[in-house]
Amino acid sequence: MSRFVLLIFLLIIPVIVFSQDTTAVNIKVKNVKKKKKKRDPNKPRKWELAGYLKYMTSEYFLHPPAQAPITMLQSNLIHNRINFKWYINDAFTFKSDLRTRVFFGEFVKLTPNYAKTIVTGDSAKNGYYDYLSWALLDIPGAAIHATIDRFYLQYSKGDIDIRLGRQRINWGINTIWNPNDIFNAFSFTDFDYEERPGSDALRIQYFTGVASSIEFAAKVFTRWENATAGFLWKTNVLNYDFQFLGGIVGQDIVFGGGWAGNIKGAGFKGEFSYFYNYADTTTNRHSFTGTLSIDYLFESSTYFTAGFMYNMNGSTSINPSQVFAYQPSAKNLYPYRYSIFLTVMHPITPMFNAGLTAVYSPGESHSLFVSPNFSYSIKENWDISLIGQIILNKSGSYYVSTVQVVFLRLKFSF
Amino acid sequence: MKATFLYTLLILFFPIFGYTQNLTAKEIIKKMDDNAYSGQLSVTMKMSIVRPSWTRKMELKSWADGSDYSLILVTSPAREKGITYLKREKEMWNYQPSIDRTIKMPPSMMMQSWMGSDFKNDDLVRQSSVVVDYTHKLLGKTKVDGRECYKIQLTPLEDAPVVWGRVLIWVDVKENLQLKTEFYDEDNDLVNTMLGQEVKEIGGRILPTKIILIPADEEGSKTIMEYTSMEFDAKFESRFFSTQNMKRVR
Repeated sequence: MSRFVLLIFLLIIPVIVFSQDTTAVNIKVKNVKKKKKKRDPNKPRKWELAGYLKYMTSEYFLHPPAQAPITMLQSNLIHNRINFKWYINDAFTFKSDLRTRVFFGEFVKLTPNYAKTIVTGDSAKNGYYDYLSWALLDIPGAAIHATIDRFYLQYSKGDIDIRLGRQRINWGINTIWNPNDIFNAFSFTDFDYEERPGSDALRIQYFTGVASSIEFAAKVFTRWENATAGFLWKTNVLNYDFQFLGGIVGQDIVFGGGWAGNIKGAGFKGEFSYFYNYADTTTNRHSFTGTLSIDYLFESSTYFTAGFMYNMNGSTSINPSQVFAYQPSAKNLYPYRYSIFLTVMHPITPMFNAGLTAVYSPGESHSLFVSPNFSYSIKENWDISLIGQIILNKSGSYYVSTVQVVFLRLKFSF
Repeated sequence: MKATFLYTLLILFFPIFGYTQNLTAKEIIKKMDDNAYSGQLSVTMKMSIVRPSWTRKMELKSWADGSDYSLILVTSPAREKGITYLKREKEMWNYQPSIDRTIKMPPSMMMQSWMGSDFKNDDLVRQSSVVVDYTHKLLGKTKVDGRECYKIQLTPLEDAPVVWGRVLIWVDVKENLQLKTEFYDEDNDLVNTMLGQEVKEIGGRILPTKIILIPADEEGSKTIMEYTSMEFDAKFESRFFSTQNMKRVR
C-alpha cells in the first residue's frame, strides 16, 4: 500500500514539477503578451491607413446659343481614396495613395473611352506614359479609372527632408491662384480633387530656421521641353513669410515670389511669376502672372477673401465656357487677362456652412463665374455638400447663363 | 526654554506666514498659471463639443513651451487627422496634410471659435496671458465644489490682445487650481463659464483634468476637454516649433 502511494507520488512529482514549470512559462508568456498589449497609447503606430469614400451626383444644364432646348446631363461618381503611410524608421517614410473612381450616367455615355481619355491626359501631363494610371473599365455609360497619385520615399533627419517619387510639390502661398505652383498647377473649378495630381520628382528641402528653408525640386522628364525644375527660398521677416523662386518650366525660364503677412487683423498675400520663353521666336516671349489677396475672419465667424489676378496670357474676348475647357498652368491659371474674386463663407451653425465664390473677368463678355456651396457635417466622419457652378456672361445689357452644374456629394472619411 | 522654542518657531515661520497673507491677486494668478502651464508641456486630450441636438468628439495632442510657442495635432476624427496648428509668438500657421500645404493664418482667426467648439483659437494656443495682459484684484474667498477659493477679478490692459471686458477666476487656496472662470464682455454680460473638475494627479502635478466651457446664452451647449496625459518636463529640440516640424509630428 505504502509502495503504491510512493509510486503514485513518484509518478506525480515530475508531473507537478513539469506542470509548475509550464504554468510558470505560461504566466511568463501571458505577461509578455500583456506587456505588448499595454503599449503606450500615445505612441504612434508604424503605419497609417486612411482615406474616404464619396458619392457624387452631378447635373449639367447646357443652354445652346440658339433657341434650341436645354440639354440636361446627369453624371454619377463613386470615388474612393486610400492613403497608406509607413514609418519605416526615424528617418524614412513611405507613402502610397490610391485613387479609384467609378463613373456612370449620361455624361459618361456621351464620351466613349472615358477612362482611357483620363490615362491619356495623365500621360500627356507627364510627358511620358503614366504606368500608374489605369483604365479598368470602359463600357457605354460607365467607366472605372484608378491611379496611384502618391508614391514616394521620404528621408527626414535634422534640417533635411528629401522626397523621391510621385508627390505633390505645392509652392503656392496665396489663397485661390498660385503663379508659383509650377509643378502642379490646377483649376480651382475642380473642387473634388483637393489632393491634386502628383509629379514624379525629386525634392530636397534644407531648413535654415523655424520658418525658413531652401529647396530644390525637379520633375522627371524624357525631353527637355517637358522639364520642370527650380529652386525655392523661403524666409520669415517681420512676421511676414516671403518666398522667391527661379527655375525652368518647359521652354520657359521662370522667376517668381510671394508673401503672406497681415495688415491689422487681415491676412495679406501676394504671388507673382515672370516667364521668359527662350524657344519662342515670335514677339510673345514674355509672360507675367500676379495675384494679390486679403482675407479676414469676422467675429461673427464669417470668413471673407477678396483678390485680383493679372494674367498676361489671358484673353479679354474669349467665350465664357472656356472656364471649364482650358488647361491650367502656372503661366495661365485662368483664361482671362484680369480677374477679381470674392469668397464669403459663413457657418450658419457649426455643422452647417454656407459659402459663395464669385469671379468676375472684365472684357468683351464680362464673364462671371459663380459658385454657391453648402456643406453639412452629419456625423464626425460623414459630410454632405451641395455645390453649384454657374457661368454667366453679358449679352447686350443682360447677363445670360449658358452652363450650370449642380453637384451633390456625400463623403465618408475613415 | 519653551518660550525660546516658540520664538524660534515663530521667527522661522513668520516669513512664510507673512508671505501667504500678503500674496497679491497677481501672484495667486501667476502661481495658478505656472502650476498648470509653466515649462515645456506635452499633452494629449479628448474634446467633446456638445450641442442640444448633437455631439462631436475629437482627439488632440499638443506641445507648448510657455505661452509663446505651441503646436497642436489633431489625431481624431479621420477627416481632420494630421492637421496641425503652429503658433510662434504673434504668428500662426495651419498645415493641411491632404493638400500638403502650410497656410499662414490671419490674426483675426486667433479670436475665433476653434473647430466649431466653444473655445477660441486663442484659448488653445494661448496668445494672451492671464498674468501679463490684465490687472488683478482680490475680491475675497468663497467655496467652489467644497474647496476654498480666492475670487479674483481680472481687467484687461488697454492694448492687450483680449476680447473680454473682465474675467472672474476662482483659484483653489491650497493647490492653486483654476476651478471656475467667468468671462464677461465689454457690456458686463456673462459670455462663458469655465469649470475645472476631476482634480487629480497628472504628470506629477495636481490639476483639474476636465475643463468644461459653457456659453451663457446657449442652453444645452458646452465643450468638454479631458486631459488623458500630461508631461511637464518635455524636452524640445531647438526647432520643434517650426513649420518643418508641423509636417513631422505625430
